[in-house]
Amino acid sequence: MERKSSFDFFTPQRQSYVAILIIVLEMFRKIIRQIWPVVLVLFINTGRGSMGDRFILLLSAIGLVSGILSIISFFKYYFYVDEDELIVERGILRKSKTSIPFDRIQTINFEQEIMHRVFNVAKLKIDTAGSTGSELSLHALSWPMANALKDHVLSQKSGSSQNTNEIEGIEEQRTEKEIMKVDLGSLLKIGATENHLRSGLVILAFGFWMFDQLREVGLGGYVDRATEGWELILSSMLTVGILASIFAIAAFSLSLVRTVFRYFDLRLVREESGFKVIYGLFNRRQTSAKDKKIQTISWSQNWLQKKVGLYEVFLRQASSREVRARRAITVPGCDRSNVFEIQQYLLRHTDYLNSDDKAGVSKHYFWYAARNSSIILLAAAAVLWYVGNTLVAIFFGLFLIYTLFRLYLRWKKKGYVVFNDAVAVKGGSFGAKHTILENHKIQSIQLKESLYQRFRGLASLELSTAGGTVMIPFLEKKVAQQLLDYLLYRVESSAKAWM
Amino acid sequence: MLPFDNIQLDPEVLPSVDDIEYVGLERPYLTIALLQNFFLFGACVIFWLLSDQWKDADLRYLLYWGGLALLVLVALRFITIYLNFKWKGYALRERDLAYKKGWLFRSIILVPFKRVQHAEVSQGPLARMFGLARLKVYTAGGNQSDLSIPGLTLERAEQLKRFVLKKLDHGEEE
Repeated sequence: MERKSSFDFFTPQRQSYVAILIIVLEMFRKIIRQIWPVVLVLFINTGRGSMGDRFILLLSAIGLVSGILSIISFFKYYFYVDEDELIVERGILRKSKTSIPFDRIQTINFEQEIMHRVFNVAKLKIDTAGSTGSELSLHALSWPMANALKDHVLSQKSGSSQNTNEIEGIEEQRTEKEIMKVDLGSLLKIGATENHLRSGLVILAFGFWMFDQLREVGLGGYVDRATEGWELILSSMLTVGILASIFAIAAFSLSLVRTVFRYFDLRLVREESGFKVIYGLFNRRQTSAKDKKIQTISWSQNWLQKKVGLYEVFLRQASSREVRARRAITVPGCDRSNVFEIQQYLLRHTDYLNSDDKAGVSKHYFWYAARNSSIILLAAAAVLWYVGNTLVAIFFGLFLIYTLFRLYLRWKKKGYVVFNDAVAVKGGSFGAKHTILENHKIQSIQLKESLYQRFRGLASLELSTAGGTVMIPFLEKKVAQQLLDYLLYRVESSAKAWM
Repeated sequence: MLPFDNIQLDPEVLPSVDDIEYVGLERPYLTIALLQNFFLFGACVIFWLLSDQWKDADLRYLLYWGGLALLVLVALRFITIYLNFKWKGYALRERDLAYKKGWLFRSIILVPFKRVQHAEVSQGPLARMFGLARLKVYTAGGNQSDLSIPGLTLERAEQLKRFVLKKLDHGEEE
């Protein structure tokens, strides 16, 4: 571990010089992403007049100017620490000075894209307690310096703020323990048990998007010619079968590749009073979360993951809605003992994972959804049947049976468990998804009754935390009210801070 | 602070959300809600009157039916506005603030004072003409868990805000 005294944060300093390269590259990537169809057209139409040449000239001019601007802005970008604030000064013509008090800093996360890894630097992302747009990122700092800055900020932070928990007193002993590590074998297992349907949809969406882009730049002719053959292919069962298998294989491979890129060498580390997760093949990301920031703990399994005993764990942190998804710590590929260990750090007293019993919800949770989807799907099937499209009508009928089965499972698995210090909400249909939140982290409670529910004496409860809302649907109204009373009592009588 | 975690609880003795008595909103709030909808439907009526279809004998019946449908819609809308208004209400308890709304889709939201981040009073132009204001209470839970009570007199809104903020300060000392 690097000594933090070897860095002087109190004098203004620049980012690592690698930042120039990274900023320019990032900008270039953005530009390319915007205009790739145009570039493609230019390639196809090369040698037809000077229009293309002029365009390329314009493009290089834009690139050059913005490159120079980013270099100047790099030299005008300083950061330093003043007492208990992190200060950033920047701007070429209009100077700006941003100061962020350490107290307001919620998390400091590291990110390493491929360029960062080549030069062993890190991108620092600093999130504050304010609304969106108040976060700050330092494009490139040398790895030891990034670590030292983080340590410095965090140590100052706990020293200065008054309402920190007693637990943080034991900060002296820097313990780091690796809870889990994903090797190549389990990485492939994670990839193989991904949601392949979603990957398939991604492929389809990408295909349509590309067609759209090509049409927009006037290459529609190529596309149309390519699609003319489709009807021929779709008319034979065999070719449809082959096409479907190719599609399935593509979806499966996409899941696998995506997983390897994203979660390569994933490590979940227990730090003092917090978690840290590091992952990624080319882009290394590091996200950390302090215990007291974590608002809800969830773990989920889809059908495949359930078969092989894999869990995905989500730790959701206090944050504004806009950045909520980014702040969640996601740990795929956990086994049961990992889940148990993670949960034990946060909720010491009860074994939530192994409590199989739960209070269920009203059967109307099934009936209401079943009625709605039946009406829609049967109506659609009837219309299709009437206009003579029998095959599709039958497909809709089968889809309805599948939907009803899924809704039935969803009702069977829905339930909740109330503990002294926490509520667990269970759910899932073919898989499972469980969420636990500590009672004292509830921000507000909402009791809702739709017309359907009111006639049957039912109600739903929504528990809002700073890390998202958890819903317990279709309870007997009396039970919902009692649960609400109980949870409110727990919140209002608890001396614990929610963060 | 007492170790609450060991107290055995009887659900029957906890203060029940069912027993809360709500304070209704001020009457002018109903007027404002009706006025706003009145303007909206007024625009529809003008559109209806100025329609081209009147000249066409074959299509004129469409306009008659359309007008009738509009009338029914207006009547229904005004009835629901009235019922909604009747149903809305807020309540202060020792440790939380409750607000209920929605006649068709009912909901009650409760926010413990302990979890309030800040509170503010706001006034729209129409509300200002009637001397009404809206109290907004924010928590860290985001939009869904924020509470917004319209149709309060300005004094009452300010008073409630002061009360909530005082509770908030008090809570932090504990």
